[in-house]
Amino acid sequence: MSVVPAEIAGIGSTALKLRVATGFDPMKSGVGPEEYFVLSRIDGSQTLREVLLATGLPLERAIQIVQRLRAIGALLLPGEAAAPATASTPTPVRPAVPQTPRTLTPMPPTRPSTANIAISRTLTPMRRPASGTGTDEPTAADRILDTTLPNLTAQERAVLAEVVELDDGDRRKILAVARLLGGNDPYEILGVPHGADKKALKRAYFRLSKDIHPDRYYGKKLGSFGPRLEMVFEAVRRAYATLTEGGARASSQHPTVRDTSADQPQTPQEYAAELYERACALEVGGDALEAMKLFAAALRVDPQPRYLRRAATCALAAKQPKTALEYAKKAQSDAPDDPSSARLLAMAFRAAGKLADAEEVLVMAMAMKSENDVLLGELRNDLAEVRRLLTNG
Amino acid sequence: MASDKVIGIDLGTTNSCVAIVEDGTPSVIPNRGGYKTTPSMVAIAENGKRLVGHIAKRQAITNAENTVYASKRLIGRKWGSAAVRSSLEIMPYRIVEGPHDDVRIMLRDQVFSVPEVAAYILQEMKLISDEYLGEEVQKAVITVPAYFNDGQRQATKDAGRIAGLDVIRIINEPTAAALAYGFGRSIDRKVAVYDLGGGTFDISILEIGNGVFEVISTAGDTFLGGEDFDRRIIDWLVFGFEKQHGIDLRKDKMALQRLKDVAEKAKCELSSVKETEINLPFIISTGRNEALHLQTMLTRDKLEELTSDLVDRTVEICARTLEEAEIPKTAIEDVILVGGMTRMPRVQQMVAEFFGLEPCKGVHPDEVVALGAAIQGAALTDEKSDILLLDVTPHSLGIMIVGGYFHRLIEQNTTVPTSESHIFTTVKDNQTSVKILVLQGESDRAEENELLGEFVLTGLRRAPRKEVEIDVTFHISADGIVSVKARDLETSLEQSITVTATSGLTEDEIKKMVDANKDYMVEVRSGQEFEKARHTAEKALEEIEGLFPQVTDAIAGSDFGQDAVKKARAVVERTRQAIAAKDITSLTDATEALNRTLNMFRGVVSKTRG
Repeated sequence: MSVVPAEIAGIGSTALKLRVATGFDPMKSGVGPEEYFVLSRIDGSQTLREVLLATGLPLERAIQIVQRLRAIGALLLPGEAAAPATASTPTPVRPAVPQTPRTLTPMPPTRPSTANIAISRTLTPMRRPASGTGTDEPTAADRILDTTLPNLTAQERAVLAEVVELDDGDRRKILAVARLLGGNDPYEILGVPHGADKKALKRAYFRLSKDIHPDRYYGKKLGSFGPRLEMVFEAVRRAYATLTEGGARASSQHPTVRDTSADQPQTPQEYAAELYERACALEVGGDALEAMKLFAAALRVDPQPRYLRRAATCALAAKQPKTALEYAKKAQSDAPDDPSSARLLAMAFRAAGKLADAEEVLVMAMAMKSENDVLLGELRNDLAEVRRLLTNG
Repeated sequence: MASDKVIGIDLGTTNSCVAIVEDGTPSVIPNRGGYKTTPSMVAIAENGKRLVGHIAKRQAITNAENTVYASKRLIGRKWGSAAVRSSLEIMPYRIVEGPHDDVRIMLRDQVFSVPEVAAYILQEMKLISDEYLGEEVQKAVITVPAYFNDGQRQATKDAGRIAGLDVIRIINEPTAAALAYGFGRSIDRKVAVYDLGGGTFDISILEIGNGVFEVISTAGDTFLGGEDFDRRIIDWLVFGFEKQHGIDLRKDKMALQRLKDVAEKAKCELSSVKETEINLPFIISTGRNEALHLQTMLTRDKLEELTSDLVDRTVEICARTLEEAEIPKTAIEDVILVGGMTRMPRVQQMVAEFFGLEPCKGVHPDEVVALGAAIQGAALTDEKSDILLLDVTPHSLGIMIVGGYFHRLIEQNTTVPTSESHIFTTVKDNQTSVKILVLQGESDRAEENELLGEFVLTGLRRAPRKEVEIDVTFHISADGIVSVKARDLETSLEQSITVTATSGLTEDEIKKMVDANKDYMVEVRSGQEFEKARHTAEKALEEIEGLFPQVTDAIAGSDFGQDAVKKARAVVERTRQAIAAKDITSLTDATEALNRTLNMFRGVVSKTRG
């Protein structure tokens, strides 16, 4: 069994590119030979998944090691700042004491996908303080929200000292989320790995909302935390909206995609090609809407004109004129001298009710030199039809 | 003894219901008669005594003129509104104009405001709870139709205050229904709530997961409900009677009240039987000492025929709501039916057909809303509750800009709390003040929307128009309170208001205001964006002009060459005009077409070279 899970407890997605914390001294941190070997393979340009597959160690063992390395502060996630200077001492860099022993426990070997186990546990009440008791464990699917707040600013210090009806854990949680807003990375704000699917995004958004929505502290004296909660909630909501509205809509694709071929590392191009093939199969099978989603996914992975054109055709068949137009525009601008791309664009315009634009594009397309008489005939028919619609409308 | 308990009240058009969460379990509180719902009726008896609920309903026939029902249709409405106009014709009680263009109800010789009447019903619900709990309840969550505007919500809140209740939150009825549906179950799905009550129709789409209820979209019709179905039956009866006897029964208040009762009863019966007999002996006297009787059969088929357009309308609203939210029908995993009207087999059948799935049977359509309100009350005040409602603002909010247009800052169906800012500029030279008119609604014309409030920002620097910039920020708190702030970016002077309900401004008055305040208007700052767009457009223009000779050469042989060149010229011209008109929208459009043409030109040229 050597399927790399999509997510690893304590770290997140295996698609992330981890790097070694600057100033981390392996000599003083008590790492063993195997751990040092794994550490040497982490260079910031390979994904975690690639690293795990490249070590040659049994997968479970490799996962344990990266978890331990992460727990002692050796590894940084993308976008994370360098750890504070304390790294040269043997104590863990991130003094997240309650987390350290837990992440060291071996993962159940039969269930590589710990993410799924953990999700159900997020149902535990969220009002308990985040730190201190140690009972409110972050689950594997959770981001480990650093509520220790290293390097407090003067303002944060003042805020923490304010007399309000919030316990310390809640205050720290709110400030910790507030700290993430500066990064402007919607994935990071939600605490999910890049490319997380819609379900994961919703889960993260709902989970965070339970911590930071002002209604959770209804009737309490909140002082400056009142406006801060609203600000933080708003930012989280926007991050969620950014990732779920529009293009990302299609990302709720089949989660099985990644797992089926997980044995061998797949290049993005190969992955996109696979998606493309599956999309074609769906299109042939008559499920244009699903096919369109897969084309869209293929496009995100590897934007190629051939995917664009098929996706646009599919979107037209699925009666999604907006999407069709978007793709057709891109396809046409990638191949401006290609009359068939222009024809597709004209069809998309027509489907979107923009007849004048359709006419314009068709006229231009007919002026292009083409050896294809059939196409020319089609263009002529299209143009006649569009003009008829124009005069009737 | 005062209590911290929070009751949930469903203040319905025809019936009201109250519920509470005790030890983590929500339950409906029955009234003294053991009924779980109480008629939303208020009457003044001959002796001047106020009657509420079942008692009021029982004496309605003999005291129709002094018995108020369906007051919810009038709450927060303006006297001049169409809603009030149509009520004037059909209500047996007297509706009169109030001092602030609002609506008053006259019972015997007393005049009541609509919130007062609603307060009597709320007070009754409070009394029912006090008796049941053995302590005085002070806090309540009250539900309103999703499509209620700010004025109607505020009027409902006022009613609560008059009734001695601290209304800690107003929530939407369909949302409440979803809370009750999802309470205590670990579900993770998208649901639709179809709520056809006595007076209103609402449709809401929610996403539920992990105890969080996120409202995605909500819409409805504040003037479509069970009462309309009743009226169709009444009209049918009246018409039939008039054909037979030449007498219009609607002219007799008592007869009308009896017709109303029998129509409602027949409608309810036809949900379980195929036909029912309508029998109203001595319905009216002919004046020659002889009485006429009304006796007829009404079948379910006939009822469905009489009301088919009403049901169709609800389905249309469902389709539109889904479309606007860009949610495919197939994404809905469960449909919850709320409101007494959803007992009608035809309604159930249409809903099932539309969504392609059987509606959920697990909730009681009459009680589910009150239960949900109680659940939200507990969610807000009980530490142990694990429920969070992410509610939305049901209408767009914005300000009036020059020309009487409405500029949206917050779109409808945005999750609250939220805030949004936009920069506006002065429209006249040496304009030293701006007036901010805060509006709510979906029309692009300011006067067609509801005015929530207004304020003036003064002390602006004397400067050429468009030079002074004003930053306007809207904020909606979690409990739906809207505040608006305008700030002069140069001086940091600011002015703000917290919007409370306005009563009394008619559309005409707003129209007048549009005219009167022309000098104080603001305009959307578009200068910067326009300059950017112009730059892009001009670059493209330059290149395309350079390409014209080559392209003309290249495609001269083609039959369609001339046509294409003409088209391209037209696009160029359109772009120039947009630049001259300084119109950002048409410039953006024109530039897009221009770039496309340019792209094709490049293609044509490179092809001939290759």
